[in-house]
Amino acid sequence: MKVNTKNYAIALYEAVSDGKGESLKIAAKNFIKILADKNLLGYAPKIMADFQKYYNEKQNIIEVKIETARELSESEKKEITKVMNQATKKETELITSINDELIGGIKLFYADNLIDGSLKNQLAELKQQLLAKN
Amino acid sequence: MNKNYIIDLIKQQIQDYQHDLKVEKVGTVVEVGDGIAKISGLSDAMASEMLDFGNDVFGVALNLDEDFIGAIILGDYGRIREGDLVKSTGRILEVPVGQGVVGRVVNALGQPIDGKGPIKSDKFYPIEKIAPRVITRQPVTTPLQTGIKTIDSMFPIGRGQRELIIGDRQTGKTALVIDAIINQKGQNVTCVYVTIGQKEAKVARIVSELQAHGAMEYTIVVSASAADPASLLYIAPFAGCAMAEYFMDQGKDTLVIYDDLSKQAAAYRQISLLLKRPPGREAYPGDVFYLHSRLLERSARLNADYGGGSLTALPIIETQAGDIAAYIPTNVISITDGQIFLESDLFYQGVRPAINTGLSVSRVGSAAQIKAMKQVAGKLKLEMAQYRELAAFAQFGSDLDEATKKQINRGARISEILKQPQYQPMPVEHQVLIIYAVTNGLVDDIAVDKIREFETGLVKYAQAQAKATLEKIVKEKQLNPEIEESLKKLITEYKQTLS
Repeated sequence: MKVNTKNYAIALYEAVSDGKGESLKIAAKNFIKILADKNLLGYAPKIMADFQKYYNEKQNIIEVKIETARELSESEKKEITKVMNQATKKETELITSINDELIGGIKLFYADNLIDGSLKNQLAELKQQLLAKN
Repeated sequence: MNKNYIIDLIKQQIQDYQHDLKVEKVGTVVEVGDGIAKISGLSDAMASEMLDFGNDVFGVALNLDEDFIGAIILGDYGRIREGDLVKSTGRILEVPVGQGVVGRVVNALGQPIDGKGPIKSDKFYPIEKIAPRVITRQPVTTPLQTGIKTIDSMFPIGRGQRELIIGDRQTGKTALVIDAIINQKGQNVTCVYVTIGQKEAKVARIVSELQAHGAMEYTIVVSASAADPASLLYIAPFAGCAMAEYFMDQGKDTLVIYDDLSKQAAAYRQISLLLKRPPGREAYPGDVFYLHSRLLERSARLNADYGGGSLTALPIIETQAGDIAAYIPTNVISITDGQIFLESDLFYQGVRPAINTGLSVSRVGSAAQIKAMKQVAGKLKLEMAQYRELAAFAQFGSDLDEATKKQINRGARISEILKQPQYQPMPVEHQVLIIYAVTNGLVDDIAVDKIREFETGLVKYAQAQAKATLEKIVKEKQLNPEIEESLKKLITEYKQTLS
């Protein structure tokens, strides 16, 4: 049978969303017991991923992944968060990673969108433009 | 050239370089294999939109599900990995069209594969297009001469018609259509030959044959060979159709050959099964009928308000052991305006082209046949049918009355005259002459095994002695008593030179 992990994630969210302290712990424990009973523990990572997605959606949070060539300073991160908050009208959660290949600049993913401001991409575009003219 | 000049030029161009940041829609590859990719993200992709997998590999979004996109990959899918980024392009798949493509051998994406450099064309047509609407069309009125006596006399094809060519392997289906292309020389018809799932060696042989007969000057060859991925086999006929449509829109006549659609259906079946679409009869998906009907519906004869161009389609279907009642053959038979049925039994008996005159039919072409041909060939089909019946009966060897004997003799001569070697399409006026001779009993006194010799001799004699009469047939398009008289005279004269 095909397991709909999304439904489990939604159910878990409903169960824990208004819980606090001890009741939260009990809800989580019970959920794991249910999974174990139904032999669904193998699906736990998938359910957690779906839960994260659903949680973000409900709490109006947007994950923004940024790739840079070098470490960003705290003030730079704050600046990006501020801009993204305004642009998406959602609470921004930054996930940073470092990629030497970009040479410079910044690559920004959010939802299904990509804004590629890296030096690598600009060089590739320049190459294309030069080739197109000749 | 000055070295500094080049440096300055590049410097200038680098200074001119414009860069604007843009938001691109992306997704990630979740699963990839067998030419199919499952992609998450890309939430606003369109159906049959082109997707950019990077490294000049493109795909087409076919399945738009709730969480995933099922896409076919056009080209080398070996380098695509799980987790790769996929960008949407906002464009529907398109191919280059125009005069720059004519004379070239291209793949299903319109990229050249003949080693003659890039294609000079700045016009593109989408490969999928809605067929011309009713108000843009007009009935078929102009003949498309194939140069094959059996077809032009009994199953005439009109410009804008769709005539199926169906038969087992090795019955001369491809030979027939190659002759038809060769015969379009000087007829102002642009030809597109689409090969689907054929051996590269066969394609190379056909191209060199077309070149040898000067037919590549007005022909485009679209090749999706047996080694290409199924996705390319699936889109090749649509690409070929788009290239012909461009010329139709310019008011020109075009001929497209799909060789063959059974392999395209098999490729589409493969893609559909991999995309987990439910299988139906013979494991073909439910929309395999629509696959062929929407392709063949794009053949049309446009009326004068829309340029008056035409697109004639000759799809080919390969049957297994003569089974025309299988799924794909019945589908395509019902879509087209008639079929030419080739039989391996006839082929081995030496009747080449091996056309079964009983099962073949052309539903709209007779309106387009020139009157002269109609006059001489009107009784041909009936006589052939009677001959076949009597010949089967006469095998018992009993004594036959005079009338029956005469009928059998006539039939044997007709079927002899309809034989035709490959790469020798015949102009319509010669066909009229020779069919006139046989249907009017003027060759009844010539031995059956001498008929072919007589035919070539007569055509040569007519070209030397009575060119004016032949030209008159072409010009007046019908046989008036005067032309008929001179034809009769010509044939008797030639017979006298023999004795």
